[in-house]
Amino acid sequence: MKPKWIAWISLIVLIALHLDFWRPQRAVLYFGWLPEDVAYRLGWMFLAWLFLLFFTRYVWKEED
Amino acid sequence: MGASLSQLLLALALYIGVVLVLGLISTRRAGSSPEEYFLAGRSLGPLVLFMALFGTNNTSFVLIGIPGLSYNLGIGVFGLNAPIVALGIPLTFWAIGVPAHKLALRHGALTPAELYAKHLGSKTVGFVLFALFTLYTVPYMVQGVKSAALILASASDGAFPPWVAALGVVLIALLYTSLGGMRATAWTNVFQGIVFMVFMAAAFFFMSRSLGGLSAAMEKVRQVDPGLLTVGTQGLFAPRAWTSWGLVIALTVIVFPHMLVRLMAAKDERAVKQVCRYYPLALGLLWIPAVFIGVWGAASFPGLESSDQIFYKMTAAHLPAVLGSLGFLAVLSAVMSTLDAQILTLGSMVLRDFLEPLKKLDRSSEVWIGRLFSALIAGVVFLLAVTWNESVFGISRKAFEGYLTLFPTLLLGVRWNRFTAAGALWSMLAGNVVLVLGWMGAFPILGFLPPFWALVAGFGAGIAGSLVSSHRRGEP
Repeated sequence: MKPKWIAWISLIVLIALHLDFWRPQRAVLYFGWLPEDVAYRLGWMFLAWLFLLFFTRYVWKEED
Repeated sequence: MGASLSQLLLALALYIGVVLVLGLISTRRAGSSPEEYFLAGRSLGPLVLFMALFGTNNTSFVLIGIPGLSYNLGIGVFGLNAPIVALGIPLTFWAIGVPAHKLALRHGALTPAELYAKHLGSKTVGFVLFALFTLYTVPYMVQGVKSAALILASASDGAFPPWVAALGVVLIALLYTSLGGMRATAWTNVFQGIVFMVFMAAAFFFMSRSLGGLSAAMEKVRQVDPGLLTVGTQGLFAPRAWTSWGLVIALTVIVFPHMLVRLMAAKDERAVKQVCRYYPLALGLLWIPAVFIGVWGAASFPGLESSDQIFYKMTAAHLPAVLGSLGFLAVLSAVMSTLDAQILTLGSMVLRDFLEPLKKLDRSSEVWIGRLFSALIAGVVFLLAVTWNESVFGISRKAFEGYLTLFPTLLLGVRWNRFTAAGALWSMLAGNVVLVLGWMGAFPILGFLPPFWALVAGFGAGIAGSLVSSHRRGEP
């Protein structure tokens, strides 16, 4: 599969995971201090960062 | 903030000294040409460009407004904003910033409005963009100055009345911006960005320690109001409002003229690419403390009349005196790193987008006229800051939603060859009319926020207007 397609499919998956209205909300603290929703968002941000590394490496072609 | 007045004054004097020295160092090259003064000779490398963009992007909205909002709404504020911004900003830098950088170089444009006017071959597009950029940037500047004034007045126990604090902030930013132009603001942003990032990291550590550790601090929040640890279902957290706000917050940053102009000052495309890799990491480091301070504050200081006070209350109660002074400087740095860029950009826009199309100006006098208009704009902002009564988040939100109406024009203008000046004008008109009607509650919005419909209208009118108008590109 071409990097461009991988990137666009990943982007759609990321957006779908951001619109996570199906996920139940609980006042749970991971490690005793990290709220569940913040943990989920930080995980999402890590995936988004990986996506950006992939995007800038394989999809974004410099023309300068 | 736990610091005495003499400590605050010492910290303030040191801060002013550093930014003025950086301004003075940049002075020598600033006056050599308008391109050097307004765009630092298009020479910003990855690190300075990143700090210039990050410092400009993050203002008191994050340091004062987000703790204030989290105080009321809980940890859901993090998910509502930070993740989608961390993805949206780099992608819009690629989608709009990179082609804008290239086209600005090709057309010799120094401002975003000038770039689109020349690229679409229409002075009218330039005038309208200039007017709308100004309309939405001035309130954004006002919220920054208001925040700095609020924090300085609180930290000095009223020794500096808000109007004196506001005047001081505006004058200092104006002074070093006028001295060194874009190069001065970029380098001061490096310093200011370090100040507010270090402070937020230190505040997170020391506050949690003062509250008995991270677990104890969060357990107290759960005891006081467990709802603060979950995402709500009403207001901005309702699914369609969440979706709409995600679009606003992710797409609006590239439309800030003071952000886009910094991308036009990039040395090359590689520098922009590097910035995109740093952005999500830095945003996480800044937003986690901002949200947690607000949530911890809700447990420590319930029932505040103005939630914008929580940042000050928490730093005063939980940080050592030395860090208290730094907290005040962190807010000042966040405000001034945005304000300087806005002063410079609006000054250049009045000159290049409003005056020059009407009357040809002497190239050597452009820098001085730019400085004069920067001073006029700073004066207007000061007057509004001492008379406008609305929360920091409230003012910022209006500005963000307004900026979003320009997104279709900025995107289609650089990415769609068929886009025309007529399409741009129809897009901006439709977007703004729909937004204002939405604010007035003039039509059913089906759960989506007014800017969502403004964006839809802007894209629809822009595409339709381009398809039915003649295609022409080039100098106006």
